[in-house]
Order: sequence, then structure tokens, then C-alpha cells
Amino acid sequence: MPDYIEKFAEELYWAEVNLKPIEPLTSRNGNITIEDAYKIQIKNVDRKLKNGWKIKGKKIGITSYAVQKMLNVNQPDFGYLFDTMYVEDGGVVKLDSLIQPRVEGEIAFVMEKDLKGPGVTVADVLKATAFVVPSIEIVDSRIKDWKIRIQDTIADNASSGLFVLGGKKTVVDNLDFRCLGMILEQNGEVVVSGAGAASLGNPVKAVAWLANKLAEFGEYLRAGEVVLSGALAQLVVPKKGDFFKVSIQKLGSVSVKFE
Amino acid sequence: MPKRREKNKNGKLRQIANYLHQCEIERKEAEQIVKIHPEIGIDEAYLIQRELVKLKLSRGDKIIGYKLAFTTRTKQRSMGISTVGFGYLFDYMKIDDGGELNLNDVIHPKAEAEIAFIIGEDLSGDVSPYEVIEATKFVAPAIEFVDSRYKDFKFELVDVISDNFSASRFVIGSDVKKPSEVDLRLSGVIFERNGVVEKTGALGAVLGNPAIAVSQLVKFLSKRGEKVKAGSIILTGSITEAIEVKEGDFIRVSICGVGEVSTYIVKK
Repeated sequence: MPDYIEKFAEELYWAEVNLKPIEPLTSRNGNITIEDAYKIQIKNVDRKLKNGWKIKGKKIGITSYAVQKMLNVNQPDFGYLFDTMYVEDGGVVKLDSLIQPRVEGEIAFVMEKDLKGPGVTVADVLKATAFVVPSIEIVDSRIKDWKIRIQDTIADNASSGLFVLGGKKTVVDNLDFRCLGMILEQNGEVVVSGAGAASLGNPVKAVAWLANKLAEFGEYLRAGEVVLSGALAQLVVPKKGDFFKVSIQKLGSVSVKFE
Repeated sequence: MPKRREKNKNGKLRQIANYLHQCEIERKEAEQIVKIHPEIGIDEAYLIQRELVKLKLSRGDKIIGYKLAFTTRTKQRSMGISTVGFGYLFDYMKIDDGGELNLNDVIHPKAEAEIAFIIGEDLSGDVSPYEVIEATKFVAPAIEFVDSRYKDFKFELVDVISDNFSASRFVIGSDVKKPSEVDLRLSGVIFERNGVVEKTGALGAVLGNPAIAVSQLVKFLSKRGEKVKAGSIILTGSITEAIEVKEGDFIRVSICGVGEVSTYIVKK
């Protein structure tokens, strides 16, 4: 294992603890691969587990055609969700507990059964899903000014920050995930909107991708885990006092306040 | 003397309208009005638009509806206004669902995904959004091709008002629904080019509900002594960012719970 993996993992860990962003890994080491980046991510996941954090699920990132084009890649990525990242619906987030947060509206899947790749199809995902809920993901980057390439964000746990889950449970039967519309309101004004198709053409497809990708690491989705299936619109920058509400067609709404 | 100055002013506005009209007909890019006449304000810009409309009517073009702009609160606030902007739709701008946009008819078009309201009864005065819904015969998915006459699509507020809000061509889908059957706030909108999802949105992107935008139009028109006549088509404003189009593209807008509309981009 190249020695920079240990070094970058250490840097990212302390950047998160101290809220001090670091220079992009890719600008300091041009050889870093996507595989290396996942190794860095997993090092810090193990470290957090040792600290007593608990895994609540996973998140999928880089799921829109526009963001893939921007980062010049043709694959999504994933990161881990921990219990420490969970915020109650209607809860308050302190702006100074994060470095450079951004707000996103997403559909969250809650698994009923374990889902193991490879070979997972959308039908398998639908069968293994207990229900879906609306969610707000608050992403954050430990890389200065969000100057990320795909390797930087993967190493940084896919830029995960916090997540909020709405409390209305909807079963997947008869839902046309591609079609579900989403609006994100900032202080009562619709600032961005999207539809399910924004995530890889269909968020169910994104979850199937994740199950198959995890298999490469001997990992899988466990019953009870939450999966954030990818942003449905552009990221929004929060400021002090902002109130955000995400409404998703047929799924209800979820909100969070920044202080 | 004041009378004469007034006459000169109207002459100037007519001249500008004529210039923009010629640019549209000859498919050549226009210089920005604000650069040549920095003294022109918003009210005068709507007078230029009115002169432009008169020119079109005198050629035999017929008004068949309206297109809305500034349909987010963020945009309205940034410009210090609290109403939509609008331009007129003419019969020559209509393309059938599944039809073609010929690039030789336009300058540098961009496509926008919208929902169209087809009005069933005359609307005027201080109408509320729910009254708009009552008076609307049906809604349909729509593609609007905007084509600013200005060079490189660069313009300021006065320019775009004068230029009839870049109105150029539009397509109304043949899948129609009664507005009361549609979730006008949360229905998803998918904008595809050649089968690839380029943009997505939800109907609420337009002021929370496009019926709100239509009610703002009716009020605005009433102040000018105009009304929205039964049968009018209203393009209620872009739901996602616009996309550029090129020869060979197949553009499709799907509005969940309403239907689809599509156009081929050709050059001939």
C-alpha cells in the first residue's frame, strides 16, 4: 500500500475534527487512483468505528450527468453515514459545526433485507426496500473551496456531512421514481427543483449500482440501513438563520434550520 | 415644444422596434439597446415591445397567447419587481408536437421546458391563482425555443423586454390534462436531449405553482387595459435551465402526470 494513503487519511481525519480544510489530495499527488481513494476512505471509517461511531447507512454521490461531466468521470461514488451525522426532521444545525456546507434534496431508501452484489438489479432493490422517506443531505468538504476531483471526494467519505430524514414512510409499490418531483425551499422561496430522473436516470438504479459497487469491497447493504440515493437538484449554500424545506411528490417533506 | 419632443420619442421607440423586427426577419444579431440608448427605462421598453407587436400585426401575424419570464421570487427580488414579465406569442411561432424546429428560421435558439395553460374563459382584473385554475381549459407540456436577437444572448432587462422576451418558437404537447387533475407544485419535469436526461425540475419552480404566475400576468395586463382572452396559450416560464440545441437533436419534455412533448432539430 502506498505510504500516502496513511498520510492523507490522517490529514482528512483531523481536517474534519478541527474544521480546517486541506489542499486537494490530487493537486499534491497526481498518481492517486480511485482505488487508493476508497482505501483512504475505509481507513477513516475503521477509525471512526473504533471511536464508537455506528454506521447508519450509505450515501451515493456524483449521480447526475451534469456533475459527472463537470468532474470528467462516468461513475458515481459512495460514502458512509454514521449515527453522529443524523439530524432530526425540523432540527437545528450549527453552521460553525461544518466547514463549507451545501444543502441537497434526496430520496432515502430504508432497507428491509440485506442486499448483496454483484448482479443486483432494480427489481432486487425494490424487493429489498422496506420504504422510502424524503431527506435533506447536508454535504461538506474537507477539501479547501470544494476544489475536488473524484479521488478527493471519495477519500473524503464522498463529502458527507449530515443528513435529515422525513418521518413519513411510503412503500415503493406503484411509485414512479423517475417522475417524482422535488422542490427545495429556502425561507419559503423555491430555489431549486428536480425530479427522480436526476439521479442516474432513476434513483433505484443508483441503489443497485451501490449494492454492486460495495461487493467489490466485500461489503453489502444491511437490513435497516438508510441509503441516500443522490441529489435531485443543484446544491444550495446555507447561511445563518436559513430555514430549508424539501418536498417530494407523494413522499412528503422534511426540514432543517441553520444557526 | 413638449409635444414635438413626445413625437420624437415615439419615433425613436418605433425605430428601435423596427430594428429588432428586421433582425428577427433577417436572422441577424442585434446590438444591445441599452448600449445605444442608455436613457431608456422599463416602461419605455414595454412601449418598444408594443411597437414591435404592432409591426407584426401589420404584417398579418396573429397574437395567440403570452410567454412569461421572471417567474421565480429570487429573480423578481433581484430586479426589484414583484410581478412576472411577459411577451406575446404569435401564430407563426407554433410548431406541432413531434414536429421540427428548422435552424434556418432562427438565430441561436435555446430550448426550455415549461407547462402551458390553455385558457377557457376570458380573464381580467384582480384574479387569484385558484380562479386561474377554474378558467383554464387544460394544461399541456411545452417546449419553448427562446432566441434572443442580441449578440451572444447577452442582454439586460430593457433589452429583453424590447425584444418580446426572446419569444421565437414553441411546441405544445398533445397530452393534455385538466389543471385540477395535476399536482401543479410537485409534478416532476424531465428534459431530455437524444434520450439523455439533461435537466430535471418540478412545476413549483415557477413561483411555487405556475397558476400564481398566470394570475400575475392577468393583473399586469389589466393595468394596461388588456385581458387574457379565451383560447389564449400561456407559456408559464422555464422550469429548468435552458439547453442549447444543434442539428440532429431530439428534444423531449416529460411532465409527470401530464404527458410528453417532443421536437426534432433540423436544418433545411
